[in-house]
Amino acid sequence: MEDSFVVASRAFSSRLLLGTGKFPSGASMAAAIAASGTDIVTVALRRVDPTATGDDILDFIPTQDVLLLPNTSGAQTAEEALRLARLARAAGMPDWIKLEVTPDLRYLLPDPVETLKGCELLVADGFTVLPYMPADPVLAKRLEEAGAATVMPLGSPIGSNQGLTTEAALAIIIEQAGVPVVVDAGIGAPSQAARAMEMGADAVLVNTAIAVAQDPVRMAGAFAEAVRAGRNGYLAGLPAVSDTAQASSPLTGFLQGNA
Amino acid sequence: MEPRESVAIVVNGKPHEVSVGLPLESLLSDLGLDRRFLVVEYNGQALTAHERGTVRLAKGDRLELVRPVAGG
Repeated sequence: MEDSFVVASRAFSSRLLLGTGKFPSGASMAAAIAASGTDIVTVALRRVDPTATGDDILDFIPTQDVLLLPNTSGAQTAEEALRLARLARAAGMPDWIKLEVTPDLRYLLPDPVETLKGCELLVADGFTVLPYMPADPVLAKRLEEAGAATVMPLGSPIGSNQGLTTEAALAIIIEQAGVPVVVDAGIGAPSQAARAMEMGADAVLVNTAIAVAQDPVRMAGAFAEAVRAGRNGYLAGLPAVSDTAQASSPLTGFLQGNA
Repeated sequence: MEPRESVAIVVNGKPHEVSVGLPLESLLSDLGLDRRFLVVEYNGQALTAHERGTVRLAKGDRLELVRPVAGG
């Protein structure tokens, strides 16, 4: 039976979402997208510089094969996020939006109040909203009630590669969620992605760890395998953890008993 | 034909001179911009591709030209 990742009634086969920032070149990004097997690729929106030359990112994204998910990075308020989302929609991109409201530039932590407000504004405007959020279980429920299609709690600050420093809160969010949980930000190694998936996260979003790897394509493949392994581990059912040994072999002494 | 009056508009926060009544699409051509996924915010309003074709520029217009870039 196929194990699809379903968001807002749309089914995806991959549970690895890929960000496009920081890749050394468009070609390496394109190869990493292919190696990752991802179905959802994020992009940002910025002012055009008419004097700039160089590669256009869209030349390297197979938009017929993957969902282009614009984010609202750079927004510091709910209203700015709505403005960016409307620009993305007017650009002909899907009306799916990764809501990011991060007024603090040192840690890039999402503003919970503006994120909730932004989610309400965007849902009312017809968007399918995937909010990047602090790993706060109460906020996750509030976003869900506001109509978010997923919740995307952070593992640790964006680009920090610290892994799942919010693990205990993520576990509560996963337990309580009525929408898919996508762990976003801070995942720095395939093992950390596998861990999030073993915990029952529905998907992970990875960017920096793949983009800045010495070999981004190989790392994209490694993350794809880790996400599948973690998901399968979760579906198979992890065993209980015990404080003491639980023998895997018979406890009788060598050549003793049952003779 | 007499040259048209030149007026000041603002493009991505910077002053820009255009002929009054210049079609927005002509300005985009003059700037040499790739139109795929290019978005124009015209006096605060995000324009669809169709709406873009109807706009003629006037004094004081504010344009934001935006497009997708790499991001996570």
